[in-house]
Amino acid sequence: MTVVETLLVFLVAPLAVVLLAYALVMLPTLKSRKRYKPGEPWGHGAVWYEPHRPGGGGHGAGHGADHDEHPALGKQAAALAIGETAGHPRRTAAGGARGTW
Amino acid sequence: MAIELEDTREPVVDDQEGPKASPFSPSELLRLDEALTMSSRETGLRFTLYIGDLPADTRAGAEELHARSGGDPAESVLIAIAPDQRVLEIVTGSAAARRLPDRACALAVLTMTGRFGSGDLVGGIVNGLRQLSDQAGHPAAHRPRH
Repeated sequence: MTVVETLLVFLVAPLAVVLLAYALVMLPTLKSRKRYKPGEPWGHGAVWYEPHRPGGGGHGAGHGADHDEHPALGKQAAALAIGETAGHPRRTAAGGARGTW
Repeated sequence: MAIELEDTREPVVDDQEGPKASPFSPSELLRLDEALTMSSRETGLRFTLYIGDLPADTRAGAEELHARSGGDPAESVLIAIAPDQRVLEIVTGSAAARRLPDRACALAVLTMTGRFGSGDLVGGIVNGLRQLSDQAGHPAAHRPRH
């Protein structure tokens, strides 16, 4: 076994294996979008999410056989602009809480 | 002699995602959507979630949003999160406030801000919603059937 072969087998090959494992582990993290960190600017527009309507009417809590148990992702991830109507003059808030972080 | 000034301004957002990209990944959106829908379905209240800037008076801004949140405002609960201002506001309507007293909301706020402080927006929202819907309970227990 020459010196070059020894180096290849005992140095380069293990290094390649380690690097491959590292890449496999780190690649999904690198690809994913940036996480929110407190104190950093948010940098996204305002979004307003609302729940899906219950199966039937507004008070239909008893509708057991809802067809949308597992709806498609497109339906699920719907960000809706629900603040479009003209502003109500009356105050609707009755309570709540406030917090900072 | 006039000197040609080059426009060296850089675009405000040179991020490839752009400012309008959704702040959440599809799986995170799925979790948020499930939490919103399930807590609304379980309680009969209408939970909506606003994430974005609020006016300087965050309480007044959130209450104005609540008035415009669609549906029946008395039964709706608005969770307004301003990540830049690091403020969380929960606003309840008159009917919702009977089932979600301010103390319960404050407890949920504490849960959520704790998670937000460590950078976990989605986890905080999901846990806060779960806590709120647990507190509000099922509508059948509160409303006589007609």
